[in-house]
Amino acid sequence: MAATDEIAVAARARRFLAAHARLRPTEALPWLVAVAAFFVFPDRLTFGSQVLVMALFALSLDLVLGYAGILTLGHAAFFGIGAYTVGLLAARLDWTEPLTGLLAAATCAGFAGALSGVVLLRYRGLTLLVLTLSTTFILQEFGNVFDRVTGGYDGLPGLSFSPVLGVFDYDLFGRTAYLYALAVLFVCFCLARAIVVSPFGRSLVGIRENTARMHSIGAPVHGRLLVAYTVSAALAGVAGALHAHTNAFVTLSVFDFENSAGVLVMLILGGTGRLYGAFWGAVVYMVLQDSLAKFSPAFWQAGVGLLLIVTVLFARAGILGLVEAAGRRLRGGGP
Amino acid sequence: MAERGVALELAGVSAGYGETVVIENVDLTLSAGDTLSIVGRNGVGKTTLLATLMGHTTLHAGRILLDGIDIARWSVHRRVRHGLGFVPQEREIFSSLTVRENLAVAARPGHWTLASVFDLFPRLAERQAGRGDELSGGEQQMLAIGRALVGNPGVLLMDEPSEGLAPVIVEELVRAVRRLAATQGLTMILVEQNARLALALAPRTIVMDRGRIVHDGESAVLRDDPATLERLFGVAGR
Repeated sequence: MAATDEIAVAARARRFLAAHARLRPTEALPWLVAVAAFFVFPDRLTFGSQVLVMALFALSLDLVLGYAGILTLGHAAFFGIGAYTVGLLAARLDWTEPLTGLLAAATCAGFAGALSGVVLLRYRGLTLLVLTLSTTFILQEFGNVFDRVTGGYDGLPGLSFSPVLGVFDYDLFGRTAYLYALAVLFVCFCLARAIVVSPFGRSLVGIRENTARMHSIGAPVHGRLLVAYTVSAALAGVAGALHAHTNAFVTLSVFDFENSAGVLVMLILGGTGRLYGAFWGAVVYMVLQDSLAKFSPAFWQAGVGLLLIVTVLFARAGILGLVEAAGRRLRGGGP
Repeated sequence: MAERGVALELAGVSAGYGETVVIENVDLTLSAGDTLSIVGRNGVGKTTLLATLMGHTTLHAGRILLDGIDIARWSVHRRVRHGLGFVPQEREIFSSLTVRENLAVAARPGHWTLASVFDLFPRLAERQAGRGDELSGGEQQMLAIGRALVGNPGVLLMDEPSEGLAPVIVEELVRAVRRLAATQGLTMILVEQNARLALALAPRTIVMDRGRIVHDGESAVLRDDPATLERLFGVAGR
């Protein structure tokens, strides 16, 4: 009887939240832009697929940082695990089918997330930052020590993967890679969106805002954080696998601190806790990085740093926060 | 007349923060459906007593029985799932969630649903799509009570529900609390600075002083005895 009641309440809560989480027309915009970019920039699709990969990586970080409030500087660990999963499967076991590779990457990264999360999520703040960062360094060194398997700092170059769905082979212009990355990003966005509008997702926001209060309304806080961390790690693993699929190589640089920090900057630029902030943040960061690197190969990071300073000083909610504020002003709702 | 079971029992409870003991040797028993007010001067341990029931303090001695089960060493969320509900003094509404979402994240099966909370507080029904940080103090208090209710507790703890609210809002809250008291089986403990309100809301009142219960009796008797009230509480029916 109690179990039936639980199911009924959960179903009612889901129906209610689903009704209040209907798709807004503006949500189509990033996808329209992404499809338009395929036709408008046909000679920049390889770069475009990298933007989409980083958008997925930033999305995975948004689940834990933007929604659950878990501070981490080690998300590159899961990205790297995903990349090395498909890389090693292809290089050592000749398992080159991309979609099953993505599933394997999600499983391995998710497992690593669950395993590390059991310990790491008992900590908060600076301690958690240092622990997550250290975990990534350890993984990177682990990959270096076992260079016979991982290829060490030379990585796994020249990987070859089967055509996507057995039909779409990777081409020199990056068309397949772009559309493949876009399709995977879309599926992962739908999954992430379903999570954040669910009662579970709302409770993550509650945990971010007031952990003690969530304990006091009967929520198993650690368990929920662990689930969010695991899902986020799995998505980061998928991003890493996509990175390997679209670049056809993997090196230990995927575990670099710059990778963890870069995705954090993208998310801050786009706006945390908004899902689509990951998308726009990745686009702005990658395009800016690409443009500035052409302009000044040695000092492009100064430009990105300047933009970050401006963002945290004048637009703490990121690009989407600015857009939302402008929308409120236009509707006459004040600042 | 059927005898009501014991909903909550504290036996020799001493607790505080770390090594500091704030409440000492507290014994208290409430039957299912009882409403109890706790009054006392500032800093005598009223809020600490509620915090101890919720598991937010360090328990130094004693047992806390909820429906006959000792919950003294349980985690906070396990106590809540076993039937404790808490309305904190600071309300602590989730500011970026809507009114409905604030309720939905706490909902569990039972008599109290979102609809019945909106029936109790029609003002919340009007503001259900509004964010927590857009609510007035009174609306936040109603939401805090509603959020505790949708967890369908057997024992509801309320810490200073009238604090900082306009008289008209306090009247609305009083009406709601009276309706709750009439709800079959719901046991309530109210900590209240406003002695007149506390005595009016509950048939039974305990007075605390320096971490101990110094008076436990019918509210009506205390209300009609200003001298005792003055002696115990420092003010005659403030």
